[in-house]
Amino acid sequence: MSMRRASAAFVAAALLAAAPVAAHHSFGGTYNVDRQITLKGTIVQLTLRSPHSFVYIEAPDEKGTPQRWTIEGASAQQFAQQGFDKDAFKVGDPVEIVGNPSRSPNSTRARLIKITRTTDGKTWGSRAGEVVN
Amino acid sequence: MLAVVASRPVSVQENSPIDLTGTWRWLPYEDERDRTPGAYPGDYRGLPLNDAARMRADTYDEEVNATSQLLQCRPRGPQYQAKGLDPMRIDQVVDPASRQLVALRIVFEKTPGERMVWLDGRPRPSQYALRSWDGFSTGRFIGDTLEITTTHLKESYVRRNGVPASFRATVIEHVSLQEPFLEWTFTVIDPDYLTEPLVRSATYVRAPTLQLPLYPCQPEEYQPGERYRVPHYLPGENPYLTESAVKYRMPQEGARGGAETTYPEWRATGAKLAPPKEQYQYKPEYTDESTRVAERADAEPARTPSYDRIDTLHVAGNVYLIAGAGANIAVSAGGDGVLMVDSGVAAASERVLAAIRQIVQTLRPPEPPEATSPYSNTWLVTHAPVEPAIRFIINTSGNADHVGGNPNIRKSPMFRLLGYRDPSLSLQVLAHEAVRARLAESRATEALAPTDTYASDRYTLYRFFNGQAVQLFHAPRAVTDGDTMVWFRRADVIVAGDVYNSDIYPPIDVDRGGSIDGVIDALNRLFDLSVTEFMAQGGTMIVPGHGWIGDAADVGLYRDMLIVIRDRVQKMIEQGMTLAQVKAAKPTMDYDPMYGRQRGVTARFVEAVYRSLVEKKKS
Repeated sequence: MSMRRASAAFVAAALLAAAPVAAHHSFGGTYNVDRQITLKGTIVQLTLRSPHSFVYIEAPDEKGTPQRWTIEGASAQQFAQQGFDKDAFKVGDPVEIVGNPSRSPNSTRARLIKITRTTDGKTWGSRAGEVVN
Repeated sequence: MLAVVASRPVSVQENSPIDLTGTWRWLPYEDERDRTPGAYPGDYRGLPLNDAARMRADTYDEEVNATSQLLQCRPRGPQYQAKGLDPMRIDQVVDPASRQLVALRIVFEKTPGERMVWLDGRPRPSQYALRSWDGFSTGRFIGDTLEITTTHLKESYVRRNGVPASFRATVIEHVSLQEPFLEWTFTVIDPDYLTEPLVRSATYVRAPTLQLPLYPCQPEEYQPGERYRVPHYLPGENPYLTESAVKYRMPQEGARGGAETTYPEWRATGAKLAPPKEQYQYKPEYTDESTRVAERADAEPARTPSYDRIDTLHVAGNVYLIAGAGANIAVSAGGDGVLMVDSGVAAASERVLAAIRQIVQTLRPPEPPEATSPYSNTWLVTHAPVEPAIRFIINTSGNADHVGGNPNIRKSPMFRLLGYRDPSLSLQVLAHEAVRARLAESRATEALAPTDTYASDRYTLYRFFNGQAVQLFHAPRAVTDGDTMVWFRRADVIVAGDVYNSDIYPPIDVDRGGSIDGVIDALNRLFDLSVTEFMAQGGTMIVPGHGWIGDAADVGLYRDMLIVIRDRVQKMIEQGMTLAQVKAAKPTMDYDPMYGRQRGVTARFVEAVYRSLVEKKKS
């Protein structure tokens, strides 16, 4: 199976210091928390719920073929406490996402670290307390 | 002038000398790295695990928590819960008649319901009872410490990186109050995966104003089609097994865990070992006693089975389970009579008939009939002893322990058919056509064989029986080529037959048309037909071919196990290994403590998987 990585720029990143909020499964086990990728695409689905929320985006891979990425975030309750509610981002928004990639090499999953709407610069993840854990 | 009121001595609850009620918040003092960001792959520090557990964890891929809708909302069991940082509330359950304390009700934020700790001395449920994530708990006070003993647990985990906890595990908890703190020590005793009890503790602090938030966990298929995918690593291929040793600068031998590494004496040993400087592809070797479970089972002398102990349990609606008579027997009992799914072995028939009589005579109309009749108010009419009328039998397969009782049941005076006066025209024994063909092929006595067959993908009984539709689903090329699953629609009970067994591998018979892929397909179908009540438990009840009543979660975990083993054997075949080499490589070793404790089961299963995959490759 060919690598389906989107045009993701891998950058070195330090581990995020995170407050111990509720996480259902082990993020450290699912994602490579020592690495970060950046994805540029469009939101195609947004699911705010428990145990975790998901932002689905379509982003082109290195050949320009659209790939559906599943970006995992906090529970709806935790997101809401941090200002990330159902009105914060919408389907169709062009976004840039920074995340930890999945440990599985061919997976199009990532753990959300930061999301920015490129049209107006609205961001979640850049301020203190905005973490996914 | 103030009056002094002489207070009377207040009696203390005999079964609860201290008050543990209230809301409590978890304090993140211990094992913080287990929580943030979560356990890394291969980090087994402090766990007295055996090699079977290591292999389970070494081959575990955490992504399975995303692909599996069952695991997305799997709650933490008591094997791990106190490490789970959930806020928690404890209430008292009081008998309104006596005002005696009956139980403590414990609610964690992310648990599906209320965990009851029974303090009234009630007995444990049958071994055939449904298991849950929280299990069945009883409690007693030893001085000021509450001791909780929990059994009837589902398979779960002791660390969030795939270190398993078997369904045979028992959890002993000790809860003591040091106001405002609650000290919670929990000990996991697991005969399948731990060599010593695993003792851990947690601390809670009173939080009187805390409101436990709702936890509406909604499973979802994140990427289309992936609900049938079970991510896992093949043995020796997990690239992350040295990650925690590098991160925590500890020797890899320490990261591998084991009872010896949990004692202070091991410090001296560990100090002589160097931590790895960078990650490398670790190739584990498994050698301890847990790797020989199947061999020990095979070395046991053959025992003549005993059918002295027959258990009867209510499953749901008007469906009951009769267990201990060979294969499980499901019974629908009601106004239309009795429908049996399977008949057990011939040697147990008398006890089976007695159990059916007991079920039928225990039934009482729950309320007066809706239609008025001259007799509807007569106590004797509604309470008259009922003579059981077994109307017909459905066989889920032609296996001897499923059909062996057919002749005796059919000869019994309790076998009173629906329909024609001529019994040869009435439905008596229904099964898939392949069952009839296989029994004829093996020259089995005609009395064992079905009198009626179906040959389609599904078959719906021509009428409701006991107020509900009864549907049969054929599972082609599963354990045999004639397996049937029976769905009681209103009670929402599915009788799975041998495609699902609680604690043994499926008895796949390749010579009679069985295959590993067919069993997996059948389990996928069973899983898709089932719904869970909340957080991956309850809802549709599954009656297995052998073992205890299950639900979709049990079926899902069983299916996952079969996929993992199928993929391992497939890889070995691709590498050109012979059946003898595959058996010697022990592709089921890590699951044998759970499913391979019966004589001959593992060898038969591995051979069947191998043969069915080789035949698939040829076709």
